[in-house]
Amino acid sequence: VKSQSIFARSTEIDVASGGRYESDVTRLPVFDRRLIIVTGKGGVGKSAVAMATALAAARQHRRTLLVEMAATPVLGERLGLSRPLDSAPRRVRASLSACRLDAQEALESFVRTLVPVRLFSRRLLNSQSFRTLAAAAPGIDEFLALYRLAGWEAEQQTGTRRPRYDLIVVDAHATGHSVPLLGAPETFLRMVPVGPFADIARRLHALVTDAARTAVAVVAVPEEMAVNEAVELHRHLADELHLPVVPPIVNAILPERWSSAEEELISNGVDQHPQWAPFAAAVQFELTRRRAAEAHIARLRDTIGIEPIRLPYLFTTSLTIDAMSPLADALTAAAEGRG
Amino acid sequence: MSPTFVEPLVRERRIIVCVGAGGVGKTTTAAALGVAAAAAGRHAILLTIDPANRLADALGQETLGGSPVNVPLDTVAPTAMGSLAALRLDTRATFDGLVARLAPSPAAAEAVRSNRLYENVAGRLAASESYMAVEKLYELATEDRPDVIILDTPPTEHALDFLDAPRRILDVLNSRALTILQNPATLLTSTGSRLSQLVLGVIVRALEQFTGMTLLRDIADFIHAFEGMIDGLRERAVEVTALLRAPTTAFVMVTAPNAFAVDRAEAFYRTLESARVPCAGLIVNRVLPRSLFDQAPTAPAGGHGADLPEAVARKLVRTFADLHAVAQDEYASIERLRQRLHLDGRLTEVPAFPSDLASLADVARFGRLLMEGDGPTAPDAAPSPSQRDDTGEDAGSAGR
Repeated sequence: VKSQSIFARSTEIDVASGGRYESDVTRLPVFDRRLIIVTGKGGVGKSAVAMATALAAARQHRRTLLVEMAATPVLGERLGLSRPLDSAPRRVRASLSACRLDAQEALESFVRTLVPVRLFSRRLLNSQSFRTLAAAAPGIDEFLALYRLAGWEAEQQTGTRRPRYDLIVVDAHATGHSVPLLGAPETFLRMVPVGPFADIARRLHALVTDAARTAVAVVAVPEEMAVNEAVELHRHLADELHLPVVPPIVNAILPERWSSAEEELISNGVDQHPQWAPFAAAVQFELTRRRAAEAHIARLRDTIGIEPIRLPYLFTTSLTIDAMSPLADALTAAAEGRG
Repeated sequence: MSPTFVEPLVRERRIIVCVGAGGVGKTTTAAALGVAAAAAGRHAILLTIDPANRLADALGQETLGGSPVNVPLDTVAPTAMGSLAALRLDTRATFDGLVARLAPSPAAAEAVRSNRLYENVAGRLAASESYMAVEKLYELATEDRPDVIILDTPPTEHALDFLDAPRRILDVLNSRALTILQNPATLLTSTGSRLSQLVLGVIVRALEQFTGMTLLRDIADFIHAFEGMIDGLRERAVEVTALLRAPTTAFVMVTAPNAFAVDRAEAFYRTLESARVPCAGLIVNRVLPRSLFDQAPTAPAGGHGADLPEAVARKLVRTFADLHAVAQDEYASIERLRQRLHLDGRLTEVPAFPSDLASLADVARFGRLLMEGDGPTAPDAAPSPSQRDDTGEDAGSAGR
């Protein structure tokens, strides 16, 4: 692996044993870390899981910052704020703030640290040529996004040495973009192995690969394609990028409502009382889906050798953070080993 | 059921581009359109971009390579006079091929390929994937010349990333950027006093030191290596763009039925519209079946003793109510979308299957549903007076 010529591995994951954890794998030991990056295929509920994680941490009085990375901001509304999130962290409730990580803003803030004279930094940023160059330099967006995250991680409360945020939860991009994000320091170091930038890249790399500070969570739904992608993503992040990947999180699992005796009762009862047929058809639909889901969860577990964290399907049309409460409960239970 | 808006597209268009956010079943939809086109007697090529081999799964093929592989359809469409070949985009190989094709000499091609930055640009840049998708589309359209190409697009955050890709890459490679690298001070100011030029020059030198000179030199080398190809790339980009905007090309948007996905689809659709890329219509996937949840039947009072105990009856009602609420929310979201975008018949639903699409037969069934429709047809096919011109335009050329 190319990266090993550059870095010594600083992760606790035992890659040699096929990406399995040697430590306790049934728990979701994340709330005591500093940075949780939530990723997965598009449409699996990354934002829901990120919100639930932030909610669970805030309930434990950990000062939490929830960071939205999507190009189209949606979290502001879902957090009950009056306007979309921007780069300045805003208080949502006790122990919970939220902000948005925007590539352009990250670039600006970075250039300002390099060129502290505002007039010049503004000129630089406004020039089309500079923007073109920034777009050309591979991985610069991702690099700066990580740099910004690391900045929040390092931020301290005024007048103290305590960190401003105990935990930063990142609602990251879908697979296709989160791999470049998390691999950015490596990509960058391969191009520019020395100099002050390289030092920053090494610091970022140390942060994202440090299992004491960082956790990467892959979210999936119990469907064939989503599980395939979760397996691939999990392996890539753990085995190739050597990131501290926690057990995969399977979202939207339908409830187990019926015993097999009850199932039998229903099919017999409906024969006798056909007015129940539409209800029984709905049950059958749910049961079939649930069985398919269980098969996919089993495949996920068997393929990567880790028991996934299970989150319930929410029969709600609300997407607000309070509606995510059952997910926060399930995550808390998983973190405490009750999952 | 009357044919959907999809049907004439599959029968007549030369290119169908499936767009939409990730996780909405875009890839499966593209595959289903491919099978449907073959079943309708056309020779179709299906190009997927996704690195996760998803399409291969849906088509029951172990691997899918960078060149078209025939999908045997005799089990699902035995009477098909058409055919389906599928391939997966290999971004790097396509880029290599493009370089080889356009470089003035083999040595020039080698100079590009051996540049350190090339790997990053060709293989990693998100825009490269979109760029190579349209490049591959162009190659297939001009060289393989099938009746129809179905294109599954990479997940992008912005609707236009995909269409913009050639221009974005070309901007990076153009000669203006080269000038800048030869004299970095032009980065900061094109006008301004000699003094500010001087000050800025100092800052740029500091910047160069900070970034490590090699990066800037590498970029310069890289752009220099591309120099002889710029005109060729530019011409090709023009042709590719023209192909994407040709009347024989149709953009079809795919979405999931929940409120969140539907809102995103609406924004996506409007972005395309404002860029004058009319969308032929919308496919809403995985809708909770209307056959089960359109109506809310009254629950019979109480249980039936030993036949159906009270507790079981209560749980039956509860289960139905849980799913019914979600289904009704989906139907309302779909209706809202149909009205806001004046879609009328240019929206079609595919019901959620209780289990996964496990085989080619499932994909074929999906394709038939796309062609023949399932959900309720549009309230009335006559366009409302409020319908805007630009939406009507494409609906017209979608042809009935």
